[in-house]
Amino acid sequence: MSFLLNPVFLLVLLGVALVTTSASAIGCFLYVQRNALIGETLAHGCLPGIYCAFLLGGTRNLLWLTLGATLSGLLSSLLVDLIVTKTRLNRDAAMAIVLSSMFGFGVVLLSFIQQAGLPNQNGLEDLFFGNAAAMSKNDVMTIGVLSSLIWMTLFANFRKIQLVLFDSEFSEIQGVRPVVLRALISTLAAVSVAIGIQTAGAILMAALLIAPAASARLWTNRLAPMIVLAIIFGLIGGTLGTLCSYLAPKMPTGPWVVVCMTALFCFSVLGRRVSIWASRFRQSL
Amino acid sequence: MIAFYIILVGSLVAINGSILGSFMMLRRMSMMCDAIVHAVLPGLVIAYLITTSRGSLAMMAGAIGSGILATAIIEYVQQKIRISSEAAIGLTFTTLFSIGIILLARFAGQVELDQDCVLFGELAYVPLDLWITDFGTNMGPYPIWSLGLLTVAVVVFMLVGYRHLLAATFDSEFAEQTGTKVRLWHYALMLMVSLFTVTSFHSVGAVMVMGFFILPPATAYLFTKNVRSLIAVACSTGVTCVILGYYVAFFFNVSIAGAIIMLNGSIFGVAAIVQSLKRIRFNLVS
Repeated sequence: MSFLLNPVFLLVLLGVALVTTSASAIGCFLYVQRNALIGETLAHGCLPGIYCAFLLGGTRNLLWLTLGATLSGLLSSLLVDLIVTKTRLNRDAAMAIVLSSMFGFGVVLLSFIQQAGLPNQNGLEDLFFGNAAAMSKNDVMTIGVLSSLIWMTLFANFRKIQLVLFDSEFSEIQGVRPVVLRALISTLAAVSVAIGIQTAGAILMAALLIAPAASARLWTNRLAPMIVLAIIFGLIGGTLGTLCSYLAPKMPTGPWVVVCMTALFCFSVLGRRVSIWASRFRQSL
Repeated sequence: MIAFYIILVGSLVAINGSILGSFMMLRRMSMMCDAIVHAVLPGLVIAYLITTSRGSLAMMAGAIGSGILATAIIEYVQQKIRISSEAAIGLTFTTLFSIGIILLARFAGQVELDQDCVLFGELAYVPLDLWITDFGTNMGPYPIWSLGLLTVAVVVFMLVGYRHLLAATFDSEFAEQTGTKVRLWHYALMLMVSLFTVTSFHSVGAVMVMGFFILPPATAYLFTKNVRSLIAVACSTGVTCVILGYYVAFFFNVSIAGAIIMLNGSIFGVAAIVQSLKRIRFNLVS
């Protein structure tokens, strides 16, 4: 257990915590919008952006890659909206279409990069399942800056977002433009997925958005407490997952974080059942 | 011959995917395809660890088992727990996929499947994967045989179940009254989808199978008005993309499956633009 005090491990843990907390908070908004699976589309949609950024810039600087990822994530969510409004396909199909095309594009770009033999391309395949252990000090700093940006935007616009989510007509009367705030949520979601790709991997990033929000939803009916709870769940799940992936050799981080978060979800389901039984028992006395 | 084998395998994947995917799309379950494609992984790995032989019936059973399990879990979570349906899908498949990846990482070296194979597959290796009988006769690439069998299974499934699936898809109450067991056919379709995923993922990769499912039917859906022509157009789009994709990939020296999916996606994009322009012109005229 000596690695617990190792500064490298603490650094990784900090990075994972930053990623999971911002993802959990954004996940709550997506969950309330009944749009939770967009995380899956965003995460797959980030891949071509990352590889394009790598091809253009030739570096593996996280900030640069995150910029590419965010842009192509935004493009994916825009495409989903376009398909829904312009064709007769429903949202479910639109998400699946964008997700698989973007993933195919990403794979083509990756195979192109690999056969071109470009310098410092090591670790680009890690993006699929995540490898938090490869995080450097600069990466954690980038993640920290971006997630604090997400936090500040959320905090500043919380009232407006809440208004739009629950009563968009009333919000328009109040002078809040729903379109703008929906776009804001999509952007924040794209950023939070983009900073998490290296930690949790493109395939599993969706779970980081959904699982804490779904667990928190079981305990409360109000948005603000739900977000706080989701952040706590995200933090616990992220920490446990990172610990597990460190204890077992050569384990990717993403899958362990997801399994721990699902365990927390199961715990929430049980806890809710128990609390319902307890209240019934109290009433029957 | 190499090109022929690769295109044949790709086309078989595309045809089976289009047939099953059309129904999944009409049932508004496109993201369920995504879920099942991910969720078969743990079953595959566990079956492999028990039997240690690739392409065995046990692996199929494992994959089908975990595909069906995923469907059941999603249904249970949606009904019994206060959680929205897309969150139930997202939670279930990511967890099952994680368990699969953890098992793969734990038993790496013992399992012939590796993470790359799960993600990308490799159509280029199809001609190398030969089936040689005990007498030494060369029967051609192994995937052709397994996918050929799958095609027979899918066609038989459609011949038997077409009307039931149609009824269950478009009017489940009517279907129930005329004696179609809606839930039974739902699970049968999921079983076929899992079977399809496990047979084709060695060639094109588990996540990419998804594109073969969704993209051709989506393109066809923009132009067709009944289910038969939807399936026919989807199959022909799929096969065309496989043939073109092979040569595009060959020319640029990139992943074949990726190129096929990309082409499918671009064709969908063009089709959607054409269709919406047509609609605008129609509105202007009328």
